[in-house]
Amino acid sequence: MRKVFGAIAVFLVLSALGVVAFLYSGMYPIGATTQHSGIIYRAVDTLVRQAVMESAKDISPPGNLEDPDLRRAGLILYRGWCLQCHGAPGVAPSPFATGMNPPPPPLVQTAREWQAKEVWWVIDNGIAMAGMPAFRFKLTDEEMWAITAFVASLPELSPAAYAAMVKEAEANPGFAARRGKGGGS
Amino acid sequence: MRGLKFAVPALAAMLVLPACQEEEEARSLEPPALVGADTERGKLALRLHGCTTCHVAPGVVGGNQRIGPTLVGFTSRRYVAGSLPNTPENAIHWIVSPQAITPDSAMPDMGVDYETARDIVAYLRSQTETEWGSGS
Ligand code: HEC
Ligand code: HEC
Repeated sequence: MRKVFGAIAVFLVLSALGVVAFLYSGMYPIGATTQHSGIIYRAVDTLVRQAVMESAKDISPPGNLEDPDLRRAGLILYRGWCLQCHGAPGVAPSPFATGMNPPPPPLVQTAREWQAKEVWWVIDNGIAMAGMPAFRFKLTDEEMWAITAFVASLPELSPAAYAAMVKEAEANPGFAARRGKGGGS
Repeated sequence: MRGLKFAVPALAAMLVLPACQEEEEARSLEPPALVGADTERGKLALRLHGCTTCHVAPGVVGGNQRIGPTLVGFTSRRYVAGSLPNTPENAIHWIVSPQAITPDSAMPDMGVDYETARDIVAYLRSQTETEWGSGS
């Protein structure tokens, strides 16, 4: 019995030393230019997806997310706070965004695969170590729901319909007006 | 036993030689527009220009992005974006300015310069994998 514990202790100490040696070795390819291996990619993807589903499970939308006024307000806010990174139908993200690793994806596919409450949770909390900021303290809950409502409508928006909606929303911004253009301005 | 000694190399040669020949042919058929293009740079640009946020691409780790068509097997596709014959020039043109070709396409102009687009096309055409497996 003593021997077994001894062996385990030696193993643990050696493992810890190995980890420390790796941290200090400078060998990890830390550049954003390096591609993750397939295994790491899938592991992180699963980790994020499962954590977001679990965290958002008790949230429910305060009202009707299909309300056109809410979506228009969400569009204005989206253009101020999200567009630079995620782009929009027919609109590229800012050049800096595509150099991020992971790169911010267009949200049209997310809108098809995620529930609205999960999108809301991610806006509120961000995603650690991924470059997705938390917007708590920057946007109110109501504003985050408006953005969520807009994101949920992305699968129905062609690039042309999006452009038309921008025109319309700028003429009639609703409650988003008091926010102006958001973070960038 | 004796026979086997010869059979193995002969068999290997039979398998390898045609492959070499094909490769040789492919290289001599390299389209003028792509001569001197840097395929490794093209592969990196597929990620750093955000292409893989919308497209699955050969040799690039990623999820199941289905916003644009998969770029696996692009070489054997007959038309670029369903409208232009799939020549290297047309593919480069599309990547540089998709909106000039199809206004309101869901693929935005991504700010790619001509040289980088050329490297991307050279990389895509160097990949023989198809959607159904390997081969070309
Ligand atoms: C600084 C750039 C940046 C800004 C600004 C930004 N995001 Fe993100 N966002 C990211 C990145 C990077 C990811 C990818 C994280 C990952 O792959 O795990 C992401 C991921 C997401 C996701 C999850 C997507 C998915 O399918 O995995 C959602 C939803 C999202 N963002 C919504 C928003 C909204 C809404 C806004 C505006 C309020 C916004 N983001 C602003 C960078 C940004
Ligand atoms: C926002 C999503 C998006 C981004 C980012 C994007 N594409 Fe596309 N791409 C599309 C869509 C959608 C199509 C289909 C367009 C059509 O058929 O009109 C397409 C079509 C293509 C095609 C033609 C494919 C075929 O088989 O017809 C090529 C090649 C291509 N894209 C390359 C690229 C490259 C290279 C980049 C990066 C510089 C890129 N794309 C970035 C959405 C995108």
